[in-house]
Amino acid sequence: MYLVKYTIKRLLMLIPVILGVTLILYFVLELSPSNPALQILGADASAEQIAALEHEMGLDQPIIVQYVRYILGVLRLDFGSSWVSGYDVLDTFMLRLPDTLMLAFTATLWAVALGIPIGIYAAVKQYGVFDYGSMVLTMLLFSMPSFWLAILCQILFCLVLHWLPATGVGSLRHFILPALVLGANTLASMIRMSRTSMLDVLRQDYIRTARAKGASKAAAIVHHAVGNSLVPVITQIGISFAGCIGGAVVTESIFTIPGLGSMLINAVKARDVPVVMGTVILVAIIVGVINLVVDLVCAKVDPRIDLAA
Amino acid sequence: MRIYKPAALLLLAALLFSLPGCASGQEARKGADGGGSSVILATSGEPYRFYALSEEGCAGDDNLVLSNVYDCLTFLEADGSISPGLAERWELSEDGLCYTFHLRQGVKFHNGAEFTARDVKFTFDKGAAGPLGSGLFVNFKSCEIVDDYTVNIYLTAPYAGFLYGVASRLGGICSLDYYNEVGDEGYLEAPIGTGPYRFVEAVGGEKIVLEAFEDYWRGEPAIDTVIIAIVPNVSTQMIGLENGDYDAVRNPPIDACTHLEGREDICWDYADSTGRITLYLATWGGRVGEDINFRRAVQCGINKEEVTAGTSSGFATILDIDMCPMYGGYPTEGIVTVDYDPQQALDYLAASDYSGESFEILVKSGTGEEMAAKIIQSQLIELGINATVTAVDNTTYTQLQYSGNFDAIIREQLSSMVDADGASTYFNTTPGYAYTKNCKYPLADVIYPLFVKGREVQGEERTPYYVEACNLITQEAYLVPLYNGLIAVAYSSQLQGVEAHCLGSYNFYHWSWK
Repeated sequence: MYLVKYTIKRLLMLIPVILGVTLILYFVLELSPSNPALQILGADASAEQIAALEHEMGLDQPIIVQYVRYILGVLRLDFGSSWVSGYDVLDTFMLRLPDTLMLAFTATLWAVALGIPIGIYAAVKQYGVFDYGSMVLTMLLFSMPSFWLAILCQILFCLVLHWLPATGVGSLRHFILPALVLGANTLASMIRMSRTSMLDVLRQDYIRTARAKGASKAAAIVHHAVGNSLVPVITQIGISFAGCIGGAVVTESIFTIPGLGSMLINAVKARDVPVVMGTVILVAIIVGVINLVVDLVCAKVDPRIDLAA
Repeated sequence: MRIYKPAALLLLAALLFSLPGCASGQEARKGADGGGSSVILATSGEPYRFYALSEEGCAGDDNLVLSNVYDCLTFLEADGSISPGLAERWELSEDGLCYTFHLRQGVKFHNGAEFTARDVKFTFDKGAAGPLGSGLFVNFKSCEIVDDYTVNIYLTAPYAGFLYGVASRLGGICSLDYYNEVGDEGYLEAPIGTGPYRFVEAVGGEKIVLEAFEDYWRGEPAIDTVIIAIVPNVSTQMIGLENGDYDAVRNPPIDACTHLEGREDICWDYADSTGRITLYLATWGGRVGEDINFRRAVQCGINKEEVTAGTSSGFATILDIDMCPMYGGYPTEGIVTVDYDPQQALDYLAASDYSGESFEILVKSGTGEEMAAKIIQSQLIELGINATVTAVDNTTYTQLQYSGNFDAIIREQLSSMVDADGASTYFNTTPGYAYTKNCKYPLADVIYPLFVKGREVQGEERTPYYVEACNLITQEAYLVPLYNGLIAVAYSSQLQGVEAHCLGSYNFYHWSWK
């Protein structure tokens, strides 16, 4: 029962967060110099045509009225339509969400699958060659700009080896390179986090006790250390996955993935307020839900976390 | 555990075996495997609206689709000339107020309906009333149906460039019967025309699919399916082309094209666009450009060759006046030109009241014009002018250019109206006109009437007016024409019939695989 209560409480806490985000964003966008009606109709349109479109779009109303109208629309799941393309914002978002989710999922998956074992092994072999090697790798991955890594990968795997398509979506193969690039940073985080966490656990008394009771080093690590070291890593996985959803702008742009990142950046460039607002709200909800799920999973695997408290 | 290990190995093996040789689908797109042929064109500008008669109109990028889905009465060819389209021939009355168009017979819309004069009247009446009407159907008064295959289009006053408007995106003929059936919304969602390709679908931010129209009046197109892929990143476009993901790239930068020299599998083509890149100086609002000596210093202190070398590797044509040589009515004789002369520029600067104020050049960020602005900035700094460059995004740029809040602005005017009258835009004295509401040149009242007179006559009679207008603009140093815009296309050498078009659109009808 406490789980349900906790979930509802967290979901309710999302409402002021989203209202705050939308309020700031709406007013910042309103401050920027642009006339959407003129932008849509072009300079050749007459003053009457521009005024008529402004009236139709509600732009002749005070800004606070526009904002309240917008929020009331959002409550009815009406996020409006793009000022540039005329497409429905929610429909476009739902159309683009699967590609972004797929990219974020594959990026996180390979980073986790590789990063955790490397981090754990580096901790077990602390100050060894493997440990130093993994540290160099994480530093490289952290410091390489994603656009640079993306272009290098495109040149190597597409133009030189002809193994993979350089752009677009349509099959799993299309996601290999973008996931590799997007997950590079997450991989570095995973290695660092799991190494640090593992080192911390290996120094705990219960590991020493297990060894004293006759458990082999391997058994102590596998049965007692690994599970306990993963709790902070799980939190990091959630944060990284959420980060991949909102932060895939560069990767999506270079690999021409029609996802949320490229949608948002194009909308910001064109000052397309309904698309920017809708995307930010929906991404904020998704990130909030992911964080909630991570907290619930952590509570499940770590008995020390008491959600009821 | 026993099951997982072999399964994982199998998955890995399958993945590894699937990698080599998977990259290029170009062979399949040629239709060699018995399937239909197709091409994939990568473009950064996304076409959104495929019906020009809607209340929102349509923009330049939409031309890419519109020019293939719709036919106009006249066609704008790649070099800017006009050729017959749905009208086999036309005549202009002696007073220049009535065009008579004789229409082709046996032309069909994509839904099988016959094309007649009713559709022409519907398109012109509705187009003229819409947001693009005043700019593209200039001086349109009415359209009269003479018979099923003849129409008269009347003008309120003669307009020499009217045929360019007829050939523009607004002149794409729509079906009256289909409109009556589906309305504006329905037409926007499922547009039909008489063009070589029918619209299939548009997936926002991803692609637009067109399909060959088998009953096209000029014969069925050679390419069955055209996919227009939206690829915002230029380097991705070129890598995709080299990798065989795309068959053609729309308007890549010339620098990217020159890197393709020597490759046998990819070629490229370029043409002068209808756009001119010009530096306009502000002569209002107490700005430094109010001083004619300062303006003249800027005018002869800019080395245009250096600018074109930096922006287009020297491929662009340098302009002497604010018109492209392909424009109808372009004056070839009697023009006063100003050459690059740094000493003369220093003399003008010394004679001016300039005392080191900042001289801000407004430009769109991430464009070739930004590069031009930076080169000009360095040239002006050498003269002792405190030039700065303000590069802003497209939306801010649009807003600022209407506000007149700049010392100088670099504009690229890519226009469907391939006519000398296009140069009148920034001297238009019509009250409330968006471009000149806050940016009025002191002699605009003298210059604009010359443009008006030039558009009211035909042929050689136009020249004296444009010569006078251009010379006045040059003497007053209101602007510095820089260079003619370029339109390029990079494509697989297996494709034929591909050529750069002055408007940046392509006629896929001429494309085919070798």
